[in-house]
Amino acid sequence: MFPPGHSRTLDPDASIRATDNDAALARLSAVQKGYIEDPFVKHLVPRAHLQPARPPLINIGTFVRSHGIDLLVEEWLLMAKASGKKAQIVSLGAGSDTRFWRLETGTLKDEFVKYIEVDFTEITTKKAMSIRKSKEMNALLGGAQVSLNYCVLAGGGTGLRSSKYHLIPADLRAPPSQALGSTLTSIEADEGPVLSPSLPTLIIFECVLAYMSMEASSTLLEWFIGYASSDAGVLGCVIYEMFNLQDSFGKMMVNNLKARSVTLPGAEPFPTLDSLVKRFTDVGFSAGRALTLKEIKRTYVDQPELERISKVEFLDETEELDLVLDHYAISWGLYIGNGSASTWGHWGLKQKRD
Amino acid sequence: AIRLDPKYVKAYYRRATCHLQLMKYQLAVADFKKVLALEPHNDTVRSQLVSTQKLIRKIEFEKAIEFEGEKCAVDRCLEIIQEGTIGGCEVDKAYAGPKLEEVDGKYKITEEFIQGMIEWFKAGKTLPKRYVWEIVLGAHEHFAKGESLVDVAIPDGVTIDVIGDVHGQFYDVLHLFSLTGTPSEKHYLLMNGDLVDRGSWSIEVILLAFAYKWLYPKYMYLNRGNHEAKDMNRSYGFEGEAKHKHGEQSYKLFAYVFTTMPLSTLISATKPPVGKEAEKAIVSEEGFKRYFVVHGGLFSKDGVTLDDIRKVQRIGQQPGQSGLMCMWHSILMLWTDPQEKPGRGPSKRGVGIAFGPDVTQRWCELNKVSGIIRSHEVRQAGYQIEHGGLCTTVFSAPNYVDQSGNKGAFIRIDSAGTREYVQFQAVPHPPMKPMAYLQGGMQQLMMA
Repeated sequence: MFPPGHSRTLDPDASIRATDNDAALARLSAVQKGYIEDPFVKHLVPRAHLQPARPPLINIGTFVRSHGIDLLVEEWLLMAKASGKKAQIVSLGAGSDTRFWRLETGTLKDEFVKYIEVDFTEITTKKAMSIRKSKEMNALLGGAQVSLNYCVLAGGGTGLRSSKYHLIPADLRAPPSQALGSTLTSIEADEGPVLSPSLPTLIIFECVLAYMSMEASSTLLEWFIGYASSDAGVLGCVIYEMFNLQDSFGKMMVNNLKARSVTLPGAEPFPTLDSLVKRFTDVGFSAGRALTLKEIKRTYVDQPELERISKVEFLDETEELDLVLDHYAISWGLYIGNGSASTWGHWGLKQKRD
Repeated sequence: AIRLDPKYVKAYYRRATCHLQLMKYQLAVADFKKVLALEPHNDTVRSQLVSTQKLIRKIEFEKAIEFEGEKCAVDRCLEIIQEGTIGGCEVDKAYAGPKLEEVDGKYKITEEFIQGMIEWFKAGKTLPKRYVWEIVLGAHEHFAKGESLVDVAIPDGVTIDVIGDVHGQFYDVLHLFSLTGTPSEKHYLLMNGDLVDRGSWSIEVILLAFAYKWLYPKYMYLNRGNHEAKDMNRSYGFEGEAKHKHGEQSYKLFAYVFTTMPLSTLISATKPPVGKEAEKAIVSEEGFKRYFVVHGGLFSKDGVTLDDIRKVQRIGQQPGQSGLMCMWHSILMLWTDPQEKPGRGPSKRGVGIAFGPDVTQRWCELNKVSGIIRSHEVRQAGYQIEHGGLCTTVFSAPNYVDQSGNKGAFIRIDSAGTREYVQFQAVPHPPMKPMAYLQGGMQQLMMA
């Protein structure tokens, strides 16, 4: 019971955090229907077996987004291998993402030495608990070497740290030089900084920057570039989110989100694919590319995969699917410091047909 | 004894006890009530009444669980209606809307009722559950009698209007009916599927169509669309709307009755074609034009005849359930789309196929059909003539989901088989967004 006169200020970030719930449920639905294979997401969704499925249109969108990002990540790891270096992956605003565990159980597990996830404290605390509760997920945290305290609950239970996997609580909007940056650059006993500036690093923003101001996201991106450039590192960046919001569909999405107290200060300024590329070059990336989910589905997904997913459910209208997929894009940027191999320039999604 | 003295309480009580022994609980309850009417302070009887009522509810509940998904919803609803006052489906005494006439203990539908129902709907009100069931059962009676291909001949002086998808856009349907006229002896209506989902007045639209089917079975015709199906209704709003307005059993009734709707209709002229229409027309053996009307389109292989279609077993089947070749036909008829390239190609929808102009030509020639009329796809002009005139798409939901800015259209056909195309625009509607009853609403179309 609260004493009279006590006022509860609602946490304005709660609505942003709730979007992770949307994403997790969408992913779970796509997994349960058979679009995506992911034995881990159910451990991160309470009462997973009771959650209703999403409409076919959303399941397909979730597949395309997930597949596109997976392809970029795989490509990054393969190129790291070819260059003779081990990669690092930082997933910012990771939420209930399961990529680390899927990579650890896949063929590319030896190509990266660090996987770092960052999110709001409320989210990392919950995730840490869920990981600990799941035998499968917990076991995979071990990493390439067995060590004595391979799994320490860090930061008073709000995060998690093993030799390969780091779950770090942080507010991405805070100036990185003060908060996140200092954690990433801090030296771990005998092992060097959490994030090495000299290894090829891939940073992923899966529907995250949209909820932040342009200023905060630019500062964050610039910090990573600065860090990579400090030791001739290679930096790749993948961004997935909604864009092209100035038409009637976009306005409707913006209004629906407003009704849920969510604004999109980081997505509204991007009306075109070119503007997404320009975002990269403006902050210092060497090059960038952007594709809508619609285009990715049309020409960048393998034909057998396309055929497989088209048979999973009856989709009523492709016009509606195209409309939705036209308002989401995956963009990727590459920064290569002086002297780094230009072969990295080949990194990106590969067109499968005309 | 009761006949001799209607106030002979002991007789009622003894009869009630007999009914209990025979497990005729409803009758026992009726007699207990009579006892209480004569002796309101009889607590023993009162408590027996209450415990019998509890027993009835328990049996009901168990029946409901046991037969979930297996018992035909039509039978179940009829049962519930028969059960009368307890657990039955009587109209609430407080209901102030249009009333169905009762004749010999059965309800009867009239034009007057339908007009009253339309006004009731426009005022944002709903019908009592019993009326919903009666209307759906009334239409069902006619669907169940027919085959999967319904034949409609157009006598001299009569026209028929073929209407495409309307998708719950009730206000646009009212406007459309003001242009076509309501079904009558002089002119028939054929609605070619997709009456529900997306638009948030799907219940109003389907009840209006079913009411006309009940009232004028020979003037009002309906084809099933791919949206008259459970999988679609779950994702596109009708299930939510039906359950919200009329409850779970009502939704089940709709779901079942949708499977009884005809899959296609063959409109036949009754006199030879005239004028331009006569040139190059493929005609029946008698020399008359005839049109095959189906929601989606044609088949994955050549050689399917009208008789094959007539015999498709559709009742109780949901598309997607594994089964016979004829099940496959029934899926295709509701899902396929025409394409420009000859031959057959993959469907953009992932299920079924797309069929080219040569496929249409061969099929029409084989079956002596002048052309196919289908719906299923938005057309900006409301209609589109394709495949050299042999395939026409008609779509009747203008400004589809409040976004597309398209016109709607209908096709008027007379007794010589001459076609006339009429277009119309959207009209304003009360401020309810499309798919308002979908859990999560339009937000469901967002990916975070």
